[in-house]
Amino acid sequence: MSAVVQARGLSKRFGGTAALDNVDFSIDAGRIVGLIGPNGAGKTTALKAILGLTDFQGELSVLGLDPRKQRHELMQQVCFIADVAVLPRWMRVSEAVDFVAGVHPRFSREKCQHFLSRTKLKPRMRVREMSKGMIVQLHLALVMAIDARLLVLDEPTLGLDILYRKDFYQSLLNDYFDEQKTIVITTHQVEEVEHILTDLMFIRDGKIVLDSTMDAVAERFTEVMVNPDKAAAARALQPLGERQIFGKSIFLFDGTDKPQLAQLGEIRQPNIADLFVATMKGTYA
Amino acid sequence: MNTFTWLLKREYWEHRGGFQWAPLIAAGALLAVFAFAAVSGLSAAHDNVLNGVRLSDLTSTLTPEQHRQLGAGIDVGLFFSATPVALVLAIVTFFYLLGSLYDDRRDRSILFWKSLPISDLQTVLSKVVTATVVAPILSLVAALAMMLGLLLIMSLIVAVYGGNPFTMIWANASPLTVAGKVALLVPLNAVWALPTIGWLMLCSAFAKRVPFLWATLVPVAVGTAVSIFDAVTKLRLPNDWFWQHIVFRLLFSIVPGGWMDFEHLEQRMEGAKGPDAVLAAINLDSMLAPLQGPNIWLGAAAGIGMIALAWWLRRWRDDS
Repeated sequence: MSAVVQARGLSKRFGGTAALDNVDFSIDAGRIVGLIGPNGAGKTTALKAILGLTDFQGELSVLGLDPRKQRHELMQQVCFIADVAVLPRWMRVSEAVDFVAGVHPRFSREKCQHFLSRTKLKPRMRVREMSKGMIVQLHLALVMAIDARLLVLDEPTLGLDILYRKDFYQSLLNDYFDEQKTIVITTHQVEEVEHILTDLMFIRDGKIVLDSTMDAVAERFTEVMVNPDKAAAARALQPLGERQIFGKSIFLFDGTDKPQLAQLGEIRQPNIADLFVATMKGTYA
Repeated sequence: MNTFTWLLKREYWEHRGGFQWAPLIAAGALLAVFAFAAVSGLSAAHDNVLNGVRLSDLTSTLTPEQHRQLGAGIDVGLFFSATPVALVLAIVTFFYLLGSLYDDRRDRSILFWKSLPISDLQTVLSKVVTATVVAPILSLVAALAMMLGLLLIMSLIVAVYGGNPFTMIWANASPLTVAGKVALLVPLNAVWALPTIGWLMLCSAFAKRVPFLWATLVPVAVGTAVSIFDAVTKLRLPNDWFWQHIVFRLLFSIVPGGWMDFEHLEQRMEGAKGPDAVLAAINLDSMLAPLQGPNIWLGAAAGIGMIALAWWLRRWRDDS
């Protein structure tokens, strides 16, 4: 199966600064990829390039199409929610459903009604009368009812409370995702997506600094909780990061032999947030 | 329904107030004023006598020539009764076009529209068709309903005065011809309005904010500059020409019937007076006359060019 997204030498400059700096990556079908990076790292630019919303240099193919020239064909099979996207304020729930059903060949009205039935949204409600969370619920119900081959979610749950966020990722996984689909997610709430991701990409200053499957990440990175007497020995192994908790030091190692680390203290799997913090050290310096 | 029909429906949903209710309210207001005047006229009259003449007598004493004049008077009145509706349509369409490619960028709902399988060309064209076909037809329906209302009120007055509305009004007037002429304005307006449509959509797609100021200040400022240069230098700049053929065409071609040559109306009436002369002057030949000159076609070509530019901006503008 060929890659859903294939980028080679992808670059985009705004004035003097590179938002994307000669980036290569590829995303296979049936993956859920987390694209994680600090603000201004180039996440949104990368997604916009994939969605044909912005021009770029280099090669990029999405589902075998060029997003610049074949955007219209591409959007038959790709769907997205942009972090800043809002639904038009004048629209009613029923109008939104009718419209998307009318223009999108892969939209299922039944599915959409099913998602809507779990919310407090009523058909006659207008977007301008809804809370921020309700707008997101409507938007997600519309998008999840589209049988897209690639779904791009840029901060999809911004403004939702924690109950709905959990529920959303749950149904994304259970009701939406299958081997034919690919999902790319960016979010700042890394801990909420980490258990559903199959792949992880870190982006920093326009460059991909980590591109790996979650399994490989588990292999490669190790966290050790070390007592103060062994801290010097741990530092000698050149850890990626170090932080203090309850008088102990927690070291994060990249690629260091696990049995060797086990001798220094208790080893465990680092979570993505800690890995992210260690990788992005000095970003805002 | 196909995608394009849905796009037109979407425009209608969003602008129902302007496209449907505004012309209906204008038409209703005119009808109400007319009805009010008629009723107060009726209560002021006694004995079915108007200026000492009995209307029932009038029907039998009118000469065929006078019947013709009466009918022409009603026709001209009906034709120009559409003016308020037309002006409301012009104002609504002007602001609709200014917002057409700007409002969704401002509130960022553009990313929602762009997430659907709709090409930018379809989006832009749906807005052009809304401004040239959908909105004018809704206004046309309102205007025609109003004309029917006016005729019914007139018939009522005649009947109350003891006259026969069929011989007085319906036999003399030709409402269907008037309706046909007003309907003919729709396609002619569409061609004539293209420069304004293109310019407003271009400003709408281009402006980072306040497209209204871009749309109005740019042509007015350039026109003023031309005028000043014309006044203070020896260069013979086409000052008046510029205002008439550039500034006004960019901003006011949206006004229905704006291309009609009212200046030379008197000339065409050839010194004759009376409503039948006006009616004769507003004939098919004079209505279609602008189509023969290059002005309307050059303007249309410029308008299409600006719409194409607006489309390009819509596709590639990246400020969301």
